[in-house]
Amino acid sequence: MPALRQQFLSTEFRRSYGWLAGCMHRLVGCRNDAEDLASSAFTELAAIEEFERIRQPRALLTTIARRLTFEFWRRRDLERHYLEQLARQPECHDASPEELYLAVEELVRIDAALRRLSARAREAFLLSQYEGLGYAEIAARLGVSSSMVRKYVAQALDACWAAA
Amino acid sequence: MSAARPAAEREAIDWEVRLRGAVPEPGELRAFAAWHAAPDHAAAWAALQRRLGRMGGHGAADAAAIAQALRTPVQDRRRALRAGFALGAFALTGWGGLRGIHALGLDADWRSNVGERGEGVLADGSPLRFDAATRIDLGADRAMPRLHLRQGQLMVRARGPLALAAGGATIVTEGARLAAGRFGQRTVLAVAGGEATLHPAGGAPRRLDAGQTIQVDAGGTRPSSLSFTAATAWTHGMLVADRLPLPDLLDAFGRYHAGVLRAGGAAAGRSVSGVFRLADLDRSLHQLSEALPVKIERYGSFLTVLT
Repeated sequence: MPALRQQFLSTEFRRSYGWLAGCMHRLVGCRNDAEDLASSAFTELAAIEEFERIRQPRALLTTIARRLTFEFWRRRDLERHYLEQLARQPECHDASPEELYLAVEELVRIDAALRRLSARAREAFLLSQYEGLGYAEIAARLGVSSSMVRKYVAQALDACWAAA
Repeated sequence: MSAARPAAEREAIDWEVRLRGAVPEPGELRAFAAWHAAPDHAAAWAALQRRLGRMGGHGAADAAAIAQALRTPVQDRRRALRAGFALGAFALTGWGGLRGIHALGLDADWRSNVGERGEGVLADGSPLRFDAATRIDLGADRAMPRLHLRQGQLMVRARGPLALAAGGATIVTEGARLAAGRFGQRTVLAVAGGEATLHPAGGAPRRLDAGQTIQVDAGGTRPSSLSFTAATAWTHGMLVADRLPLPDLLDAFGRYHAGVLRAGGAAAGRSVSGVFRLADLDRSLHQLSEALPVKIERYGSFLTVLT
């Protein structure tokens, strides 16, 4: 089985790597990023245990690559907006590159966890966790009850804890 | 809330939500203290607080920046992603169709630009891959397709009879995988997964077994120690050189470099073995300058000379 698996993967690699990297290149506009994304997609394909059940490798690769591209863009957007916001703050302290890297890593984790929630739950949590608003004020802003806000915050805490 | 979360953790979340509300009443605080007295409750509470501590927002500035960053909308990216992949699939259909027509007419050729690898399919379904800056002509030779590698490198998995000509030599197979590469005045030919017949220019035909690699130049034909995988390392963005003269190596590097790469002086007479990353030519050139007594001079971005 390992030999079959190896053959499947190398055949698929030869058949689709260039194609996929081309698709990614058109999307992300940078050849290095495109190659990175295409390689990551193949790495994920190679990690699939039941490879004999893969009927349409390219469709699967496209699905994986689509998610990876989204995550790649999302990380870049989050990082850019975070740094822009920090630069705008008057009392901004100078974080080391390592601190910034860790902060962005955490941002990506929290973002992924919160994206599974509704837009309202996400916003309720941001207002409570980062902007220090009370439940009554959040409830008024979002047009929901205070008990709903508590539920939202609990959902978000659960999601973020799970993403630790 | 996650079903898998232990009761102590679910309760810790509930307490966090309750306590961050308004100023807690004394009764509520006593209730919390009672709950917290149990060791597993205390552990769950501490774990949640550690998690919250890592969530950032140390200081109002950082907290505001995090909140704003997390509000970045995702819709634009999702839309672009859908459009991008649809375009990709469309482009592929057009491209594949065009290739098919050429392949049926047996008059197609394939070519790629600097830095761009490519792939195609022969009329019998044999998949073909080629390196950057490669030119391949397709013709017919005694009713079998004949690929002529004019420059660059290729790899083909023959689904039927196939002839591959490069650098004056021709190999004929029926079902093997073939690889060919041109490096300046020298050509590397490799066979895997089946056997082939080598027809050297002006020499008697002879058999090539699976796993054999040969090198052809003006001096004739001789075996090479490169494996098939090494000879096709370019498919993974790598180049494996086995005692390759520096000018010929630079010829291969040039497929990934928009300017001109030249070896002059003593450097032109040196040979090199090693593994090089084609995507990072600067590093590969630096690697050369460490392995060999050569000096790299750059004249703008266009001309790079090794002496």
